[in-house]
Amino acid sequence: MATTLRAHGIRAELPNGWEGRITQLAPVMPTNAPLQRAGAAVQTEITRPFAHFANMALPPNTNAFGGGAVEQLGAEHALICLIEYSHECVGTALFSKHRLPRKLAPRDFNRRGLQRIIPGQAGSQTFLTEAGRPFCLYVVAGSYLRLGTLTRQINAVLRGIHVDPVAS
Amino acid sequence: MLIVLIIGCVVLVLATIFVTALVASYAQLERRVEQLSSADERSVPIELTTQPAAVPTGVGGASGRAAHDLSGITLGGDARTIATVGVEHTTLLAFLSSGCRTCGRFWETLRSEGPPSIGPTTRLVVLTKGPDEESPTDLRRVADGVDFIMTTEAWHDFEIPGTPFFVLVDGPTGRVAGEGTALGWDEVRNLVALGLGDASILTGVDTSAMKPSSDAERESMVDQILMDAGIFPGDPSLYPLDADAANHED
Repeated sequence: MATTLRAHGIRAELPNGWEGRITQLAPVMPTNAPLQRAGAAVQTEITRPFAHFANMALPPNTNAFGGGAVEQLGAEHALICLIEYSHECVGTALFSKHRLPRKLAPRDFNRRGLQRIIPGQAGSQTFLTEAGRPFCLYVVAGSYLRLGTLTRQINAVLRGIHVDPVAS
Repeated sequence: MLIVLIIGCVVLVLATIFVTALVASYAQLERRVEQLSSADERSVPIELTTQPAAVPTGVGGASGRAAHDLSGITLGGDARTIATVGVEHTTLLAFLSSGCRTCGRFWETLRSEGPPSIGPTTRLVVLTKGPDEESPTDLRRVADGVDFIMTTEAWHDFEIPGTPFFVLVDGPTGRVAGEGTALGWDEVRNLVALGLGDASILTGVDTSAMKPSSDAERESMVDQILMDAGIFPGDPSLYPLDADAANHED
C-alpha cells in the first residue's frame, strides 16, 4: 500500500512502511535593531522547502538535515533528506554535476559522511540540480553493515520522487 | 489426689500440643510472608479496570479489520504521510476534535504534560479532520510537539463514529488490534494494554530487560563497537589463551 505525498513542487510515492513530510519553514523577520534604526533595507528571509522520508516514525520537529531523527535511527532504518537551495546555486560547479540519483550503491555511503557522526551509521551526500532546481540529497543509513538491504529500500523511494520545474 | 494429678498431666499435654501447633502455624505464616515480600514486583497481579464510556469500547485481535496509512497536512500546512501498516511498532491513533467537550480533557493534558506514556513500542498520533472543519490556529496552541496530522480521509478510512475515539494499529500485521472511546488517558492506556496484552503500560514497570531480545540487541551493539574498532569475528584478541598454552609459555 503506497502513499503519495505532494507539496512545494515535490511529489513522492512512498513504498509500504515509509512515511514522509514536505516542509517549508515560515520566513523569519530580521530583528536587528541597530540596522533597523539606521534605516537600512533589511530583507525578509527567503526559505526553501525540504522533504524527509523514513522507514521509521519521523519525530515532529526534525531539522532539515535530520537532526532529531538520526538519533533514533535503528539498524534497519534509513532517512532521506531532500533540501532545496537558493536558485542562485543553479549553474555553480557544486550543483551542476548531478541530477537526482535513482540508484545509490553501498559504496556511495561513508561512515564519516554524516552531518553528525553516530557510530554504526553511514551517510551519503549529493549536490544536484533537478528540473532546474538545486538540491542536496542527504541519506543516512542506520547501519553501515546493512547497506545492502537498506540501499534497496532507499532506491525504491528515490525512484518515486518527482520534482516539478517551479515550486507550486 | 491421683485424679487431680492425671487431669493436670492431660491439661499439660493438651497445652503443649496447642502451643506446638501455634508455633508451627506462625512459622508457616512467616515463611509465606517472606516469600511474598521477596517476590518480584512484577508478579503482583494487575487489575485491568474498565470504566463506562459514551461509546462501547471494543478490543479486537490481530485478525481485526485492515488499517490504513495516513495522509494529510500538519498544523504548519506541511504535507505529511504517516505509516501505520508494515512498520515494526504499534500506532495509537487518537481521533480528537477541537469542538467536543470530552476531547478538552485530552487536549489539556497534551498541552500541559505533553504526550502521555503508552509504552515504548507504541507511537501516539493525534488526528483531527482537515482545515475545512477545524481551526489550525486553535489547535496549534494545544498540539505543539505532538505527532499530529489533519486528515478527514482517515476518519472515513477508519469509520470513526465520533470523538474522542482511539484506534490501535498493529504495524506488522497492518490490522486494528483495538478500538474504542475513553474519558481520559488512563482509559486509553487500558485499551493499549489490553490490545497489546502488556500490563507494564499500566504499571510503568519495564520488563524489556527480561526479554531474550534485549540480549540479542546488546550482543549486536557489542559486535558493532568491536567492528568499529577493527576487531572482526575470529580475531585472536577475542579469545583468551587457554591454560595449556599459558603453561607452555611459562
